Amino acid sequence: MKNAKTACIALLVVVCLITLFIRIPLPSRGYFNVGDIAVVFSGLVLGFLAPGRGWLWAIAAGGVGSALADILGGFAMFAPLTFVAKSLEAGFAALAVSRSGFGHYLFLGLGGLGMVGGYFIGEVMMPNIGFQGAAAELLPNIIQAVGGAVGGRLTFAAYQRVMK
Amino acid sequence: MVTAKIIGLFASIILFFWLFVFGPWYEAATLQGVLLGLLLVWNTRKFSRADTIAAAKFLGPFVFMLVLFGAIFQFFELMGRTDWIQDSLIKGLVFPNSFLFLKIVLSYITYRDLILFPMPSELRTTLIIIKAALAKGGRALRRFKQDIEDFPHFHGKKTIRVRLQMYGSLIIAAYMFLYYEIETITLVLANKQRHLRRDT
Repeated sequence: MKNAKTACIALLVVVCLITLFIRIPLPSRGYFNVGDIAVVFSGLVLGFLAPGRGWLWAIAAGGVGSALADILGGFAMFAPLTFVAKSLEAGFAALAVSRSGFGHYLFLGLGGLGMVGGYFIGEVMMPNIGFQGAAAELLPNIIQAVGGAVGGRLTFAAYQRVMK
Repeated sequence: MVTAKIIGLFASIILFFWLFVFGPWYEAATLQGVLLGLLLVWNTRKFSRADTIAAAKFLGPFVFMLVLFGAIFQFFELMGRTDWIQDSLIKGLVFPNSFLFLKIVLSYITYRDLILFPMPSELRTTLIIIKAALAKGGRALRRFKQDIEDFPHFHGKKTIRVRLQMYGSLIIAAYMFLYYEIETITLVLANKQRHLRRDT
């Protein structure tokens, strides 16, 4: 399992399907997205497979996979925003894999922050959502980012044990 | 034909956003209300009543939160503005309208349109592989989920830790399965293309 392009397509599909099929409803809009765990996992796997260019593959897998899930799931309005936000999350996860200790967790945190910030800024700029809507989304997105980073990191550790 | 259809659909999206979201009719509340009614009818005819109810269930809580936050901002007169609640009520109409319009219009684009759309052959091959992997992966994921839930280790446990382990296992299983499936699909496609070229 060493071909980055094949891994990227496989992870793109995994991100899309996990986002579509496993949803935990939230009281405000939408659902807690287990897809975030898959996004961080895809970033870590691709960063590990292709050091240096892994973040580009991660953007394709995490960003495109999540945006595709939005389009297929009827949330097309959020697809461009999702692409940007999830690309940041996956891209930083890919950069985190080549670092150890504090740097590793810093990059994972930056990915989560990028996702939350990306959605917030994007939603504020959308006239049909605005500041009120973006503020309402902030807490669910923070929960999603933390859950995604923790779950994705643990899943990657389990995957490494399986591959040994 | 396909190109004209896709261009037409995207032109209608641009026109809609220009008129109703960024343009002159953004604040026309009556018009936005009528449009919401029409879009709900269109959605029911295009999909089903159950789909419209599901869309309403998705939109309802968000619109409620949007108006609630507007009311809170109005109470505190955030950033010196006193029109938060009015703005939120308009957004409460514009958001469902743009959501439903995009959902309906994009549903007219089929996989066949994407495959027939003029594009580089490598991109077309990648799209075919993704489509095949989505179909295989969808079926496999349901099976894997059922299998994992039946593991004695996970059986009947609903804690966050167990749920994380379950979803993690599911992601790893789906990834490993799909990786080998995609390798096979890629090989089969490459063989087909090679032999088709030789035959012609």
